[in-house]
Amino acid sequence: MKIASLGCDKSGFPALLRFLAEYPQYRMDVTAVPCLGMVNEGMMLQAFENGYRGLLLAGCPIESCHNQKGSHYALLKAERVNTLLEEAKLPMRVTCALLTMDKIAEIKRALDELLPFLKEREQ
Amino acid sequence: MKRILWLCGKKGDFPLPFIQEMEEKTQVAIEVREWEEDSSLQGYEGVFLLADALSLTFEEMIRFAFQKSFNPLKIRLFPWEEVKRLYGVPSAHKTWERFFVEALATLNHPLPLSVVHHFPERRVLLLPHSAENLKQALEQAGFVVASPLESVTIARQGINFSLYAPSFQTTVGAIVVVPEWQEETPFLIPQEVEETRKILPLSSFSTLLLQREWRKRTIVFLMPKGNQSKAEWRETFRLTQELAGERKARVWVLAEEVFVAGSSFEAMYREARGEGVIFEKVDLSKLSLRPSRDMRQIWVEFQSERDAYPLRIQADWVAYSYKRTCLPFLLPSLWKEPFFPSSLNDLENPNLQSFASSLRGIFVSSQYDEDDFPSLLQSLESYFREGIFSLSSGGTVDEEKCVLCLTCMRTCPWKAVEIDGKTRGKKAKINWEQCHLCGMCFAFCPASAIVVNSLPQRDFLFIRDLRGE
Repeated sequence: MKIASLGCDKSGFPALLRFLAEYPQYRMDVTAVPCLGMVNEGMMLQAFENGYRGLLLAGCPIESCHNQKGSHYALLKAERVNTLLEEAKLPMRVTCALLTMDKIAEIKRALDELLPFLKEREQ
Repeated sequence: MKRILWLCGKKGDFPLPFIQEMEEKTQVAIEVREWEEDSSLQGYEGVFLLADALSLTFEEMIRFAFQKSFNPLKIRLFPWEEVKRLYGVPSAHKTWERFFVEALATLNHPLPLSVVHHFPERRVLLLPHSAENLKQALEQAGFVVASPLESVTIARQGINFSLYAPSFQTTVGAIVVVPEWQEETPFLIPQEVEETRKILPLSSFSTLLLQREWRKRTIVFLMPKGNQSKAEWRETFRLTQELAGERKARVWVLAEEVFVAGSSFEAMYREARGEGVIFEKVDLSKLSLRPSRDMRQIWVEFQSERDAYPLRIQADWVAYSYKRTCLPFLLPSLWKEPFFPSSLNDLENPNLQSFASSLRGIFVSSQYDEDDFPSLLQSLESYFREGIFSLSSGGTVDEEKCVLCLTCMRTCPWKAVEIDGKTRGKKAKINWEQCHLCGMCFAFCPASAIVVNSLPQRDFLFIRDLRGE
């Protein structure tokens, strides 16, 4: 199952790379974006069109986002995309992990929720 | 033939056959060098930093380029160390090769951009002018304080601010605002609780101290979050310590956040704890108060962070501190352009420099408190000294597509979007000197009228999982 992840270059992207190095059993493609706030619904849906089944957004904690509102907006948009996917009964999901650079356990938690869900939907 | 430099941590990662193969493929001369502090970058067409992901931020890369007096647009970054650790050297070579070929193509097509290092004008406007003690402190620290006698209108001019008055015009680099504070009780006090006369603001409570007998009485202090002055916390620690120690009272402090940062505050907190004062972290919005039957005491019911069940205390006295919200003073009315500098509420954002607001160059003396002046002055000093990097034409608006819905203006966290033009032809315009290239306006624009011409290494850096391929 292909998983894509988008990380802001302030904290999400370094954390994703560190996470993949620490836990080699997880596999995903990683992309760096300037801020999670710039990821819009179109980009998320495009990732699903390209064959990814899950999308992980990793960014700064909500109260200490480097661009103040970026993580907040990302959460809102992820929720909206998830509602759309649910309505269309598609087996794809977006999940968010808001973290500082060294708290990679948050990514693990998000993936551990996402992967069983996707597997269940696939069947 | 073009000369390209790869700056890496370990030269051995790139064997000679691999480099020769890449040279053949891309038709450039590649030189590999290990990272040294004093290495010169002159004479190369492009430089690739094979560093770790932590040095991948825009600001750090530009600062590095300016130190070496090299064009920042000719530098690309790649998180080599992490990719190597992740996928092993052979797979990492594949990823790197793909990135290198793509990035080399962007080097050949120069973008209509330039990176500018600005330094703000070293003058400060203080609002309101009546804040005499702050003005003295600023002048003693060597800042020039602009003090126009008549009322001025303010307009942004790049990163500086222009001040206009009928007989006067000047430019300042920063504005220090001393806002007014609106005081309100941190929770709703029911009428019947108020009638017990056992609930008081902190300032009135301290006058009671000598008049009453406190032995075995229970006193509850309620402290809301944020914006208390340090003097208020100092007073709270002193009062609680005295009540619990000498006067043998039982003291609870229910706070949303206990202030212990700052000189000697932690020691005061420890001393108060040592005397038997109980500090609890409580969400004050969920607190409930009601009078006892004889109207002599107040029941305080709350849920602490540690316990799952609510606690009830029968308090003889309740003292509370006011919650303060920052009023943005007259700033919006002084503004010349149609622009809303209203967001002086994000003062607690840890990623903003202390005292800085989300409007670049506007500082808020968040507490009208002389203890804070040195750190405010330090923030100002570093703002003037370090300067600002920005990218010319970083974000542009396609005027034909813009429908003036003001979405970008509302979403921009740095207030970099302004409205430009005459009455009928008004369009959004991005003030590139203020723009942080976060791309939020681009994501929200319903008409897709905004283009972010970011630096090439700020474009999406894509790393594919190549294990097992």
